Amino acid sequence: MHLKNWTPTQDAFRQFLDWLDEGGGSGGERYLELRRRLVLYFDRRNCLTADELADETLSRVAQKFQEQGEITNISPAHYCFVTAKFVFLEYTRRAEHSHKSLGDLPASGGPGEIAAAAADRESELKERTLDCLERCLKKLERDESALILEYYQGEHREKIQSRRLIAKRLGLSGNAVTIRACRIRNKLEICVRTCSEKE
Amino acid sequence: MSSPDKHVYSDEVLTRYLLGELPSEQADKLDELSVADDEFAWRLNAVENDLVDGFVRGELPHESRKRFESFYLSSAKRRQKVEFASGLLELEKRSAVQFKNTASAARRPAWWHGANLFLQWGFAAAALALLLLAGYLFVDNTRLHRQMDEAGKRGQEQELARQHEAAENQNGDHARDTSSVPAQLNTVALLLPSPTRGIGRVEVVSVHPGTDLVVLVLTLEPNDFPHYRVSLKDTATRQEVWHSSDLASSATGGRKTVVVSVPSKLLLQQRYLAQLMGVQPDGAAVPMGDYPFGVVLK
Repeated sequence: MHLKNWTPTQDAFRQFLDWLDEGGGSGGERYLELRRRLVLYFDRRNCLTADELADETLSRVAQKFQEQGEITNISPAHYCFVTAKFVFLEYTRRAEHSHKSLGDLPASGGPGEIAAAAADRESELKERTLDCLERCLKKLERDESALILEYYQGEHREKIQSRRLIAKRLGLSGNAVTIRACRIRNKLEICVRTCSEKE
Repeated sequence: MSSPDKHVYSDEVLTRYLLGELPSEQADKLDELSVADDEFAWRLNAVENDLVDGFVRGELPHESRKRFESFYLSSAKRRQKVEFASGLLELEKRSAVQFKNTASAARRPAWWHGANLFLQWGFAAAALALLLLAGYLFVDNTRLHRQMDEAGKRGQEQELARQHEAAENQNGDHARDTSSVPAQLNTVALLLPSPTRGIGRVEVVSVHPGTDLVVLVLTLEPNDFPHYRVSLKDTATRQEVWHSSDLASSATGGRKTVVVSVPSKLLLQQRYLAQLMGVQPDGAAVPMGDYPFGVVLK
């Protein structure tokens, strides 16, 4: 857990996690889920530093919570979103960000070199991703890896039918199976990303 | 937070949101829901996964594809999602190719005669790994041996010999490279509820051309039998068309089950009864229940 620019006491942090949980007792999962959503929000807004902005948001919320002792009349997730909007506004006002994307571009050669380098990199990346994916699948519980392979395979129509059958077989609603598959996929994506970055 | 208007957003609207095509006012609302509303956040997550999968599979309409390339791929994080989806698709393709190789090997002349132990283990190993990859069920080697033997006794030697030959080839590959993924048999699985819980329901399995085994997963009520036997009967005539050897139970998804693999060549488009018997230590078989199911040949 990383709260930017703020180091809470263990007690304060635990209370913050409890508040985010709204009595759910997720053991920190809720924090991670909200952080994931905030990262996606900033990323959809094309922010270059989505992770940092999500951390900044959660840090501000946690500080506010510690200062006030409680935040009422609004759900924790909604409060996080309201704070994220302010963080985003500040981000857009910082003039340097509007140029950062261009400045961050790597120095490049001619179009031929770029294409060749891109093709090499793509092939290398593909192999690495596959290698990591196979390793990460093995780390999942057996029923989790079976579900994700089955749930996401096949063409459009075939996939719809297959998902119905999975839901039926597991005795769950289509929605519940979707959420389960999404959770597993998110977990797998994180594992693959971490694995790829290590290599 | 729960928003009463979140249900008005169709998958198409969510896709447009993910592709940055919505007017800012509407996008702002969805931004809020994407963080603050659990149900909406998961739904958006699911639509995004399908969008990315659709892109890597080439299923997106032209305009959406262009928009995906120009907007969605502009973010490094989103490109990572695409790489992940490509990886999933690649795994699926590789397992399909391996199956194809196995199937083509199986079509060779059946010069192989008789079942020797080496080949049997190769067959079982290939079946096990392929079932794994197909995302269905693990079938242990011993069980497949026995089922193969049983099928052989019922005049299926030739067909199984071809499957063994394929497995043998696969086994040879293993000897050369133990890190490679073994080839797979084409299987289709059908979960059959316990007869006491599934009254009135007849599960149906679709058997496509090229399917090698139909894997029946029989859900058990609590009991203490060391082994089980399954007899497959034609519902109309009550005649036995196949029976298994002794099977052990296993745990599937937290439930106690008996898994039995039936060679699909034996099945016609009709209803069947899988009769489960518990085998006592003295060998006596006790009827435990009938599991009806239907077969549709595709």
